[in-house]
Amino acid sequence: MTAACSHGVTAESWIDFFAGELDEEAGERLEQLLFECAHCAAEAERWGAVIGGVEIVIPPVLSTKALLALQDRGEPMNENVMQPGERRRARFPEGGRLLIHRLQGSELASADSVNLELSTPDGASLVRFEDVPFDGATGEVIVACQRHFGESFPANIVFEIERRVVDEVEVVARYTVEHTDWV
Amino acid sequence: MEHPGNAELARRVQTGGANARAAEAELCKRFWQRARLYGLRHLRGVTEAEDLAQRVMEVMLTSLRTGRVDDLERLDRYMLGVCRNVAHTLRRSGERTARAAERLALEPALPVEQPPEPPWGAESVERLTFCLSGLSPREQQVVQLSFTEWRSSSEIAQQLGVAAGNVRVIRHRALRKLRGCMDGAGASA
Repeated sequence: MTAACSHGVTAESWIDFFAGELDEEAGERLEQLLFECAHCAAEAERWGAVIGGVEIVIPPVLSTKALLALQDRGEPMNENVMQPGERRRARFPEGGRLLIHRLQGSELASADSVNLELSTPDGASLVRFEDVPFDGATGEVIVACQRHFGESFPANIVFEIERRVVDEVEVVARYTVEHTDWV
Repeated sequence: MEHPGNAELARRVQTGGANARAAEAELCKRFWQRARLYGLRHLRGVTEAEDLAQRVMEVMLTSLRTGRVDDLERLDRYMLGVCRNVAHTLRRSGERTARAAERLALEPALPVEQPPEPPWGAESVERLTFCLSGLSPREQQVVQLSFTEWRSSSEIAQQLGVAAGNVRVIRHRALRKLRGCMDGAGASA
């Protein structure tokens, strides 16, 4: 953190500033401090870097809308479309960081929520994502594999989709991917 | 080493000569990030914010070179005004592209210094990806909806079926966690 200054702007104020939740007067005061107070500017820069970074960071599981946004901004990616029970080898695009697994064909129309579990082929759990975005109409979950994940994960990964309806949770599909060019 | 103030740097740009180029670079370094943050707040998008910052730097350099800034002692206030004008024009035109800059009658593509590195260095995006994974699913949802889709608290509240006040509480908590995680990474680096 930077050294404190006499203006005493709280973390919450900076967060609200960027979220557009401050009234006009409070927002203008912070804008003025952003330009006229070096300490305030340094603090705003750190909050701004986190908040602006959120838009740049690609979440590991995407909504269809988020995938379209990535495509619109020209992010190079390879797409790997899979059906339940399939096993596939997949590659990243040359010089690109994104490999999109479109895990299709799950019965998700009635799902209240969907979880995604990643494990090794011999069943060791790697990571679990709860309440992920999904398309109930098409039964699709979209995974955005990124090159740097290869530092933390093995090449062979089983993706398991869980459907929750009320309190009942059930595995509805498994897909196995061999990443041939991690990192 | 002596750090000249903004007014002194602005004078060097106005005067021209051997020191002008370095003074321009230093002024861009000082104001680029502030203009970008202003753009992030008002235009609600990283690309749009960086576009605004670029345009503001162009206006600043053009104005200084042609002696159009009256009070160099208040350059910071002048820059805030430029940000407001550029953002206003970009919003009104509805075109956050180079065409908007043309309507502002700016000189085309002045050489502006490269944007500064983020506060946590070149690996910030990878680190932030890791830090985001440490948030609860609800916190992740609120953060993504707030700063990827730029939705308001009331819109998010409606979508998630919670009170708008709760959305703000979740957002504050999540951002504090992310900032702590990022600062921790910086300290250990």
